[in-house]
Amino acid sequence: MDLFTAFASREKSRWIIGFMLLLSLHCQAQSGRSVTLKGVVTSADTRQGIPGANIIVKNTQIGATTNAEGAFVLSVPEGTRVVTVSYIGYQTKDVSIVGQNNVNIVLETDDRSLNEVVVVGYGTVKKSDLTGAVSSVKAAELKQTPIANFVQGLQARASGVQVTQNSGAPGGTISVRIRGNSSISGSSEPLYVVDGFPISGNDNPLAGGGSSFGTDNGNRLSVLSTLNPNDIESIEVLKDASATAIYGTRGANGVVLITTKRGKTGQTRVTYEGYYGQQQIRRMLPLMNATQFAQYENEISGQTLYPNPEQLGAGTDWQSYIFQKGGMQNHQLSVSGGTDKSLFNVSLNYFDQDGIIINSNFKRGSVRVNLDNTISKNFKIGTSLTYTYSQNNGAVTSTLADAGAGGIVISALAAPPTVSPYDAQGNPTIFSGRYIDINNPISVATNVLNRNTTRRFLGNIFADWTIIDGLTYRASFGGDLVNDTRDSYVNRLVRTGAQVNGIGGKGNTYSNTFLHESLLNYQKSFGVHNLALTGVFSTQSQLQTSDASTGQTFPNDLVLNDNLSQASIVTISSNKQSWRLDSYTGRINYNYKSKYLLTLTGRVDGSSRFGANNKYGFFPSVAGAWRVSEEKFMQGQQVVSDLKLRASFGITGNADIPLYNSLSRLNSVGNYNFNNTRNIGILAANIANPDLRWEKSAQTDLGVDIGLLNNRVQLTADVYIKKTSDLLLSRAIPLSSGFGSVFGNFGGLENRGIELSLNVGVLNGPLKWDISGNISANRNKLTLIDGKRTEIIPGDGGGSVAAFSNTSLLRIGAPIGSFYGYYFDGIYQTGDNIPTGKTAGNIRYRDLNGDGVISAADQDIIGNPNPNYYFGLTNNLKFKGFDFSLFIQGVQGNQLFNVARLRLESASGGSNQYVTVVDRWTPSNPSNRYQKASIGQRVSQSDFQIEDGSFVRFKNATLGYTFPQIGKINWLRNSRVYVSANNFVTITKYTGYDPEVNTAGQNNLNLGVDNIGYPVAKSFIAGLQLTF
Amino acid sequence: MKRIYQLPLLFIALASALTGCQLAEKPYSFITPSQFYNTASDAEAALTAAYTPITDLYSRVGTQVPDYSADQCFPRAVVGREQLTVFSYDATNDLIGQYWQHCYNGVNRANQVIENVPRVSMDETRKKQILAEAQFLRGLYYFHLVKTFGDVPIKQISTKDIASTEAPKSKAEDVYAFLIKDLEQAVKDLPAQPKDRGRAASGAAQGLLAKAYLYAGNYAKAAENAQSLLQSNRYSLMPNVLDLYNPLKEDAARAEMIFAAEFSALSGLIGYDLVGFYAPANSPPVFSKTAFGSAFGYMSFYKSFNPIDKRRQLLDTAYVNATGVLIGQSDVTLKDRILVKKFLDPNSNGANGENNFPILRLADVYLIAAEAEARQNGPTSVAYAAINTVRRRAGIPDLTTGLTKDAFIEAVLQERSWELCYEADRWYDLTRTGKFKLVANVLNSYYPSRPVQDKHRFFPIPNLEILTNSQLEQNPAWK
Repeated sequence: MDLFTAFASREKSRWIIGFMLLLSLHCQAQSGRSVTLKGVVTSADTRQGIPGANIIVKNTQIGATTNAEGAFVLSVPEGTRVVTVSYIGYQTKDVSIVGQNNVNIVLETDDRSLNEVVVVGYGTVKKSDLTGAVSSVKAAELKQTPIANFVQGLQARASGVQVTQNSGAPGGTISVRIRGNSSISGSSEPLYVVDGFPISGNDNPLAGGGSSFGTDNGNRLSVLSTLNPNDIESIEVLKDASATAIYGTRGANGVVLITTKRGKTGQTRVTYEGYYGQQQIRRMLPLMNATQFAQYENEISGQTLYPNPEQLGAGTDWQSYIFQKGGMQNHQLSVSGGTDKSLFNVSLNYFDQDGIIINSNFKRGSVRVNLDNTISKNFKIGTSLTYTYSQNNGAVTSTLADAGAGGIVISALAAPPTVSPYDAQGNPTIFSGRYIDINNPISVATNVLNRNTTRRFLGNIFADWTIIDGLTYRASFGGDLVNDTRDSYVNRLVRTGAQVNGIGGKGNTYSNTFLHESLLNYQKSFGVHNLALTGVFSTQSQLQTSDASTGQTFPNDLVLNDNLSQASIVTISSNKQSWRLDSYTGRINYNYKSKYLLTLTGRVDGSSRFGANNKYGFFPSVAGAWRVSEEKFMQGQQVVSDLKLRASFGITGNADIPLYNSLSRLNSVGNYNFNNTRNIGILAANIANPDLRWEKSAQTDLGVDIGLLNNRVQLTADVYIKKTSDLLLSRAIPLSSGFGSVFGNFGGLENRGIELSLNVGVLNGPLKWDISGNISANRNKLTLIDGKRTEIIPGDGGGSVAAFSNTSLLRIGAPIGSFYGYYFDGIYQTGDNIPTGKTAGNIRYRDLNGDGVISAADQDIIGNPNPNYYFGLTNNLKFKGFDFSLFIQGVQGNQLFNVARLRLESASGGSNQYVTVVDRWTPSNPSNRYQKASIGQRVSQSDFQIEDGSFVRFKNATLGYTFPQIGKINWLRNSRVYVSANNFVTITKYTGYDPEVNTAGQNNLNLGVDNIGYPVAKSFIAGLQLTF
Repeated sequence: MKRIYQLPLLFIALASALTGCQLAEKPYSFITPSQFYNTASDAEAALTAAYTPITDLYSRVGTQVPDYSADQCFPRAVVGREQLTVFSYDATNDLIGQYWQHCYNGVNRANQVIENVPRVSMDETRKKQILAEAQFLRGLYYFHLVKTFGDVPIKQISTKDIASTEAPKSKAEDVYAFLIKDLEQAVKDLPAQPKDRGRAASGAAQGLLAKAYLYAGNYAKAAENAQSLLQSNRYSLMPNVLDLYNPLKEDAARAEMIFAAEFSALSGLIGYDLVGFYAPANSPPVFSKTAFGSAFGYMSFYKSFNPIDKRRQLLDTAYVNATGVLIGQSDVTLKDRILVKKFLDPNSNGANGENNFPILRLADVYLIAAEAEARQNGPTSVAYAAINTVRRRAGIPDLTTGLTKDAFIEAVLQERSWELCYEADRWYDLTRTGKFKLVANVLNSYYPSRPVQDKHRFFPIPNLEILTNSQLEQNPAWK
């Protein structure tokens, strides 16, 4: 039974197992004299009764099972000395009952059990029977750091999973790469499956309509921040093809399965968990002070703009005006419990995080109702329903749509320290003269409305029917209804708003996704042969509509964006799109004596996104495992308790490609001005590609699971190679065709890597000490572009990749995201052989091709944003009521492109610079690093701005104390208090705010770019957990 | 047990019921080719789209590519624009690539109109005009291509699939023959007064035809068409040359502007970006609301004007900046730089100007008439009359009488330089007359050397075209 309990989450399967045992034990004939033993089995962790635990008289088959409260009554033969108490997920314990007839037995949890059940696609499997590469993250680990988004909790917890907080904004965008980047034009984000409902982790490109200032990727919200992390019981990350092929066209980037908490039989438990904390910026960037700035401005203008620079002193420290200590708090109240017939888990959550930039915050309220109801012996129904309301007041850290002016942080860095922050009326000063192009950062933070409100209902109802023993059918229906509203307004106190007398907008996106799944499961053991079959039909469809209006030139700033009809110029847009995915899936699990294991899966996916010639794709996988430790020759030794070799191969797809790309789309993109009015022109914007299909990844994985010393040491190692072909790219076609490119399956890339995870129970006495760690290395390279070109360099124009910008190139053999630019070669000094157009004090770039001229041809790969390896390391200690944990994260060998330095070290005048520019070249200070000050000069992208992005971070240290039961207060079952420090030490050479940065968001090409977004914070929190 | 065997059937039945719906993508926010080219308004919309590449082209690169190469203005040395001025560009230059791309976008869209509109059931008169406008546009785009790149592919049919994207080059004379045929037809079919302001009229086709004949070396036909247009009296010179470029007087200026790129700052349309380019840094909104300070005139060109020439007022040597400070030649901002004030828009939306950019205007036709007449018949009184009309409007004396044929032609070319400066014309005068290497002498402190070579007669075909079009070879000088 426990081989494959596809419908049930872990808790239910435990219950079912217990139930079955109970039935079988009732049939045991009792003989001889016996005495009655009573008792309660409780969990050391929760101090609650464990229902369904087994109590067996040692070395007999006489036993009983605990009831819903954890109590049991057992008739034991006279003279019995020891009973064995066991329950899945807990360490089995032998208890002496000599001289007792009433015992209280406390079981310790066992994280190392191979009987643990692991959630896989469309089912669960015992850990020992797993043939694929799957990493599990438990709720406790997930919640250890204060997080707005569960994905943050995955960071550094699982091997092969690289999580990057792209933006430090509360609820901000995150990207996840499982075993590397496997797409360029499509998404590389994994598929997320919440209680069986597949959802996308992509930042919604339609959300953000109605913006007054563009939608910079790095400024986006993560859609996953709309889910409450506190409701999650466990997360499983499926990595190899054996595990992911069952998700077909959505498996190639890996799959993240999220299981939420469900009710358990027993007394109703009320749990409150809450914390409060403060976050702050890790460091300020060193800028020129007012004196240094005034000297620089005098030098560059050739005039005495500031008569007495020395008297100006430090001046205005703009950074101190925009950064704050941001409070964050989280409150979760949940009630769970149930009877044999019905189980429930209801929770309420409120999360509120102020950002470290003034006026930015994220708030979320959510409710969850998970129910399970047994209607009859073979019929069950259940629900997983959640509703979330979240609101984000975003700091505008992207560039405002205005030449020169920028978002809050870049403005704070560029703002002149010689100007006071507020004017005589107490309003933020509006810069004038030489600084007219710079926004006052305080003004951008306080006079710009940038609000996103998201309402999301995600729910699933299901019915299970046990047709005969071993054969079950489940039907489930689900809906994911998301409404996102964007409010924006820039008033006249900000330059962008002042230029047009106010600009505002409103945008709505409605995204409705529906899912139906039918699952058939059959499992049976034929002696030593164990078989489980799964068949699934599923259909999922989405309809998304959006509309946006923006207005500019308002009579005043009073109505903001709440009455756009007051605007003189109004722009409106709307869009509607849909997709549909039909799937037929099958899986066969077979094992012989649980020693030789085989898994075969196949999925046929039909997607509306594909071209007419390729509507359906087939995705098979095969995996085998050999539990060497079960062999006879492994018996009789005590060292190796578990040894399993795994191998898998399979094909997965990535269909997360832009919609409607196989069709020729006619649109009003060619307008013209006749009679001074806009005349709509309609034209085909692209050539149809009826052959368009999924990206195809073929992955081979070899793995080993080793358990030593009764599994006190557990090691899992995997090596893999994932070859992606049919990579979606825009292939350049002759421009004389009237089109620049055609979108299709032209490219190829490859990821290969190694992953290790280790879990050691160092001490297991009164002082309990666990160490767990993981380390992963991935190598990525492009193997094919379009059969014609060997590289695409930035600025190729027409035929370039969608959303390609200026930081990276694509070159066969090189990793995706490779930075492209010149090599910095010092500064031209007086007397050097200086080429035409340059003078002493200008930057010298290396003449790579040796033609004597510095031209675009002298650019090459100057850096790689992909890390050599990344790791996580956790120490957990427990002593009496105290618990302590230390969690370290590291990323090594990656490079970052510090784009802000292009501007903040340009020495071109009119804005503040890094303090390093004090050391700029002058005839008397022949610097070889910083060019001379000169108006209007620009700095080219070169390795000068490429920095080592490696870091080791003390991500979390938590100290907690669990109170012993206080007197006879038995209504308070458990209480724990804790304090934690997060991101509190970061060891790095990187000179920007924080090495964890990715301004381009989930973009596959512009990785590791720091264009001054929202910096990641450090935080200190104190929390409380109470169970009643 | 029987029920068990029924279950998979039930399952399959349910599955197929649910998949009854097609997996075809349902378009909502766009239309597909099969839904288009049915009505008169479809035909108009398709034609409008064929006009768009004009503004795509002239919002920037249409001017930048030829003008930065010539002897009237130069770019600030950023983002590779200076390659045009120092002749260091190669086939990968993006501005040249864009020039090519915009023109061929126009060709393809004109081809779509010419192929599809005949089957639309609509008013036959208007249908004929639509087809003629498309032929005019196709001729216009090919004229741009042939004068810029020389031998280029002639695409007569629109692109429908990937297979039909490659095409070989045709000889320049064949391209001229093809575009002249288009324009001849357009002269016949277009109305004298266009349906809307901004559309091509018969006169636009005839003027362009005269220019194309001049470039192709058919001076008789060039003279004939230019004279015919001048004598039609449909157009007249603006009395004050300074009014020609004022966005607030653009409708009055249509008397002279035979055909222009119709820019607009309205949302959804394309504005004239170069207003911001010519506006010096920190300048008041007299120039443009957004100032890039990215292009300036050569001092030598400024000095070539007769000081009484009204057209010199479209250039300047100083300005008062946004903070009220007079910036003159001694200031670093204007060192060796002349301000181009031909295209100003104080009401621009950012850098999007309302200015209409002249593609063909009557003064040009006068000078075509003068040159073609002189090349055909020598400096006759007809030729003198034509050039002097232009000179008188500029407020300068008539051309010295009794010039030799060569000297007269030289004077016309000089007049063209003054009259049509910054209008994307000079470089083509220099290349068609073989004088382009003289720009090597037009230097300043920013550009102390401009090593122009024979190969710069035509621009290289963009590298992306060469890479992707296996039937096409690079211009021999650029191989």
